[in-house]
Amino acid sequence: MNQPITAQPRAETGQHALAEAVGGREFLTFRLGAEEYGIDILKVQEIRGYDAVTRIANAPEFIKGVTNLRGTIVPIVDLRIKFSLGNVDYDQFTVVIILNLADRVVGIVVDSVSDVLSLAAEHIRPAPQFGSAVDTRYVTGIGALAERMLILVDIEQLMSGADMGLVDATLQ
Amino acid sequence: MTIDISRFYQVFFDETAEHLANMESLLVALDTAAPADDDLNAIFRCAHSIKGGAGTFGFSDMAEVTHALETLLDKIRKHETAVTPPMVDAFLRAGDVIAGQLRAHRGEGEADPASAQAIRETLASLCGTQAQAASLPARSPAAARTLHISFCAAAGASSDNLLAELGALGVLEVVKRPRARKGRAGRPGQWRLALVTDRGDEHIRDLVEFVAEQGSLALSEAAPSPETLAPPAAASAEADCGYGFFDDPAPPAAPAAAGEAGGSYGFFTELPEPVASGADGTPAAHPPCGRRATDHLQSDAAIAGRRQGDKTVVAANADSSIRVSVDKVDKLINLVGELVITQAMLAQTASHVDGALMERLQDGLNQLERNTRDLQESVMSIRMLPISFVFSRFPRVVRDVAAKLGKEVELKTVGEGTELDKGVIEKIADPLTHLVRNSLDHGIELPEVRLAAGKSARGTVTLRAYHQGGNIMVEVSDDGRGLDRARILAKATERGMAVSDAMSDQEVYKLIFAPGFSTAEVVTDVSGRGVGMDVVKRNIEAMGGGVEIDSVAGQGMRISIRLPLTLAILDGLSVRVGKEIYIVPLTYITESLQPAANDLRTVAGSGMTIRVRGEYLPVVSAARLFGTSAEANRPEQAIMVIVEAEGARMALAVDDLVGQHQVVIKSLETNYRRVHGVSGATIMGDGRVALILDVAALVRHTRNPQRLAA
Repeated sequence: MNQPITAQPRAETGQHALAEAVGGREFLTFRLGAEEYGIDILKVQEIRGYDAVTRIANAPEFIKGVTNLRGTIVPIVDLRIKFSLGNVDYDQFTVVIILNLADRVVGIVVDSVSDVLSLAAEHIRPAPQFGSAVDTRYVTGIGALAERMLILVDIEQLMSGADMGLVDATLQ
Repeated sequence: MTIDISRFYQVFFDETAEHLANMESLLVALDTAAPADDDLNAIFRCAHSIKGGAGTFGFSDMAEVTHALETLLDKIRKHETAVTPPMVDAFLRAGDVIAGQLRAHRGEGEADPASAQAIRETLASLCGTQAQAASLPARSPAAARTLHISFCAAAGASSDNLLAELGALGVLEVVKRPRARKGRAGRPGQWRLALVTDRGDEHIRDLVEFVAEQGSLALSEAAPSPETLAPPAAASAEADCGYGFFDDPAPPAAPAAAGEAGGSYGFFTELPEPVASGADGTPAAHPPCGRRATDHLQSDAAIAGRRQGDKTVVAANADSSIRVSVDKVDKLINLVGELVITQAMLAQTASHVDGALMERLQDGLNQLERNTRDLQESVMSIRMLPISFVFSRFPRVVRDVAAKLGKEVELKTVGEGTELDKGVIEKIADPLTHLVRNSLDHGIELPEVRLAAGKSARGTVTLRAYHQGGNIMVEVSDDGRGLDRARILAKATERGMAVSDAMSDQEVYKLIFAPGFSTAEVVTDVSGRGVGMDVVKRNIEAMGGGVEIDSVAGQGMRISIRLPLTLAILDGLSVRVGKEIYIVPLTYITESLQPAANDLRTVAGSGMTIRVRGEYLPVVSAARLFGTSAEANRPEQAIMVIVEAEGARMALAVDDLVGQHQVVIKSLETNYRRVHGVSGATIMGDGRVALILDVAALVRHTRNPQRLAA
């Protein structure tokens, strides 16, 4: 904390420094339709473009298939289809967030990735009972930042849920 | 800290398992009539290492059993006792008990204290009685004399066992027991014993050394003078002098004999470390023992020399190997697989480059290709183990089962050096064991039956491994009675299976792989319950292998197992279905063909069959199966890949055959889940993922469509 904050551009770091000082957490934010979501940055392995996937027979529609991520076979889930949001087309702007959840690697397709935000505890409000595309069971809170409202999601729970069909039912 | 300790435990468990396996193979191979000293020493070292480790980690139950084992082995090793077949049996049983205890400590079962106690008693009694009865003939019989033994018991040592063991050697009289500790704080109690025995001093010494405090032991034939007994210092001086190996000037024969034994025989010097306090060197210093060693040396000089040569090779191998976790190797294999794919992609891109640079680029890429191939091969070879890892368990299996059945059986192994992937090795062990037990139980006849049939009383079971094409063949053959075609047919009819007398021998023999099929008249605890052969077949097919049977009635039978070299790589045919590429493992494919329109028929308006050389096979449309976007072309334009699995055949209709590849198998389940009809995935040269078809599951599904839901 004793580094000279003034040496850095204030506008950008002020918020971060504040958040860290009160034990804030960092979130990667992305858009699904009109809604903005935030997930724990520590679960994110990387962000990449959409590559060709290999379809898997008899899988639900939102599971696009599997792709080769440097030798690892990774399933790709299109959250836009899963939550019936946004335009589902694939071009050079389509973004895949590769998540590292517990012991598996999963890719999710979203409309766009916005930025990484630090949220201090006072900016996180309890989740109300409201209608979002994501089941409220997986919503851990609401991040309120100026005009923006982030739906904070426990992505690990969401992805390992039974309705995702990513994990063998027998393991549940 | 707990993590650290458990890691050491793991090393101990691994090493102990290795020592046990080593000991077992040595014991089974041991020629009790003329045991080689090298082998005896090696067996002793195994027991000793286990005992040391068990003691260090506080597994006292294992330490106790190995101690009993080691005591007897030590006597054999020093030629105080001749090794007898009952001893070998006891050693093997002790090995089993220790293995059981090891499993219990690993948390994989319950130890059986009763059997541990029983084996300890057996070993102790062998140690006592056999010692008198079966001394080596070379040993000069010593007259019975009275030995006076005095020693101070080491703190915490129990003297009861010692008294029992000494009692077994002759007439034991306890002259003086140590008094209760109370009055003599800090000083260990002194024992005085008188023993009438014909055994050598060194033998007694070894026994007492286990409980005596270092250097406090004194032996004498005359009645002890008060001085020898009273101060431990004097006693210790005598004791030191008694077994100081090199500075013992008294017996003139000793240095020469010991020198010879140590130098050319490698008997005593080969021990990597002093075995037990005071045990090393002792026997050589004693004249009678030294003479024995020399006698033995002269008679067996040639053998000893050869064996020593063998041993050097083994030792060199052991030195130059390291223990690496399979995870690390697999990661390396994975990375090299990636490298190969990257290299292929580079090569593909470079082929579009024009101009002067192109040639140099191509040269470099060719070099890269060679290097990556070599690298891949060497890395894959890390996972390869000689099949002797599996074969080595069979001498014991054959020995035990043959003894139980009252049969005389010799086991021959051929091609132990044939290398197989570690994964295959692990999976082949159980099916092979089953086949060998079957051969022993059903194949090999009882000695009198064999003699009556004009064969030698001793049957032979042969295990053979060799390369054939891209596969490994493992054969289990015997010279027993062979399969009885009539009986198999009768049994099959009885079980209501569809059979006819017109079936070929091969087809009849295959019936024994049907679930629950057994032609054994009596169900024994060895085999005959009819569970197993079907499991054997299924397990082998699950690995991408196959089983074949040859048999000649009265001459024996042979079961050949065909296995892939490795489970990590598979030979596959890539087929196009719609826009997708799928891999069909080559082992399942019998042929591919383009059907003539009139060979295709529909059955009941929906199902389709194809006639292939007079046989009607169900047609499965891959496009429909996998729901690929475009419905398949008309079946007449499709290509039929005829696959066979689990005894059934079907035709898989695909759009195109793309090529034949060796593909690296990757698991879908690592990050996703099991997909019905797909056994795994692989990455193609262009970096795309292709799914590998689980042909066996597809065939089952065709027979039993309701299982689709699974």
